[in-house]
Amino acid sequence: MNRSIYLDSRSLTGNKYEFVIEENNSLELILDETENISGSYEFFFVLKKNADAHILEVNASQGKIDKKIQVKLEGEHALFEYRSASLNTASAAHRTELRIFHEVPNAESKQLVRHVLSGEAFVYYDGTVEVGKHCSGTKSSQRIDTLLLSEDAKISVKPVLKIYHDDVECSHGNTCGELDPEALFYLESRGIPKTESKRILTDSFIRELILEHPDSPHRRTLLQKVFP
Amino acid sequence: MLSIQNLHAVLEDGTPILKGINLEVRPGEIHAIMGPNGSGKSTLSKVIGGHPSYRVTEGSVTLNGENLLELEVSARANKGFFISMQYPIEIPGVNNRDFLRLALDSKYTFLKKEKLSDDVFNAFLTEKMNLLEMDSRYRDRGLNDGFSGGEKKRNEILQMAMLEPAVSFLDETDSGLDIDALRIVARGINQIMNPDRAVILVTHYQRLLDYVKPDFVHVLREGKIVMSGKAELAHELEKQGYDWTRS
Ligand SMILES: Nc1ncnc2c1ncn2[C@@H]1O[C@H](COP(=O)(O)OP(=O)(O)O)[C@@H](O)[C@H]1O
Ligand SMILES: [Mg+2]
Repeated sequence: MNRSIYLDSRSLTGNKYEFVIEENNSLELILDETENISGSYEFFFVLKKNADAHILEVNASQGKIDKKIQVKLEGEHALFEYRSASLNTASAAHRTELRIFHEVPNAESKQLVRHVLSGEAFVYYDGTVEVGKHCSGTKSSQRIDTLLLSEDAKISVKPVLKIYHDDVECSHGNTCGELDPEALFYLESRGIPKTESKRILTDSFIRELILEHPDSPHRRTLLQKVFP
Repeated sequence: MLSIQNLHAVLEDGTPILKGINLEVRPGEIHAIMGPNGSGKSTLSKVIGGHPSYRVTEGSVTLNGENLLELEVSARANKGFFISMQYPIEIPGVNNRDFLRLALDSKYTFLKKEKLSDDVFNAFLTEKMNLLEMDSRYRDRGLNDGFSGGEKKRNEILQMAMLEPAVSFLDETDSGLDIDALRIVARGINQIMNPDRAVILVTHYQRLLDYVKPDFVHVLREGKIVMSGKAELAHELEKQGYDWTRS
């Protein structure tokens, strides 16, 4: 069975959600945090055999957000995908603590995270993946890319991989930088003013991430909300 | 119309690249600039365009009497200066058509003219894509995203054809093109030319100049124009090589 759930800021803050995704079931979860509020929330996911979860989150809050996400891959061939984009500015403070436990062989987890930070925004991202001793055939990837648009914006990334098995395919990387000056020059040289050119580049950075999430009506709703 | 006088430019660390360039480009003229790799041809285009990696230390660049060097990059473009880049940038998340629309809208806003309607814009785009024999699927691809070298160059010419600049600086647009693509690109260049416009072509090859006839040929060497002549100079260079200009 396929389920798709759309949660907005108001239904998130102050709440704790638990999802058990049964054998051969699939969950799409959209976290629409485009509204400007503060708060904390927690998620707990359990994935059984052949279950998959596709999470897409866009955070554009300027407030203080604190979230904890725990994931247990309990069944073989389970797939957990987490895609998160943040556009934080002003004095936003945004903390994510994600824990993924691979408890069986042949399961897969993916994290794709992008931040665009300006003002005095601060982001803390801790995405820890733990792969158990007997978990051969595990695949795990983590990619965190950040654009820092002001001198006072800051990010702290803590990518931790605890692997207790050899037969594991893991990739992780993170980049942090400014907008590509060559791309910016290219757009401006076509007559598009600087501020607009910058916006185009940051938008495309975020849009790309959203479009990596499998197409669905809820994805379209979110995309429309972020880029009206 | 484009007047470059004693132009000196350095890198951020002070390394001199352009060392006193003089060039007068009048309406209706086509100028070819040739010269060894690393002589400063691309830098010249970027300094005129306002690329932030370079600092002008001496000299002036004016377009129709107006000092370009004190304008923002986008304003220089909107006043009518266009570069077909030697290495066009890929921007995957930006749709090609939307990008062209934005560029054109920016120009009309800058000139305080009314923007084109969607219908007029689309017809205009179709006309130019047909001229350049570009498949319609390029409309909705990401900007240069995954384009081959030749496709990127053709896309540069499409942008030029849409923006109708007064002065186009084509930086090795012919490099990496096969014979058919070269002919099509040449058609795009000839189509934009009229008595009010001018083109500066950077090229290493006579074959482009067989299609687009230059009025003047210049040799750029170590940041300076060391030789200028008529179209025959390009033939001579092809025969003798750049070393011949050392004398
Ligand atoms: N941004 C830059 N940083 C470092 N060196 C540069 C930069 N731009 C140009 N140069 C140097 O300036 C010289 C001229 O480069 P360029 O204008 O690209 O030459 P051409 O286009 O004639 O081949 C070369 O030596 C090149 O390495
Ligand atoms: Mg060059």
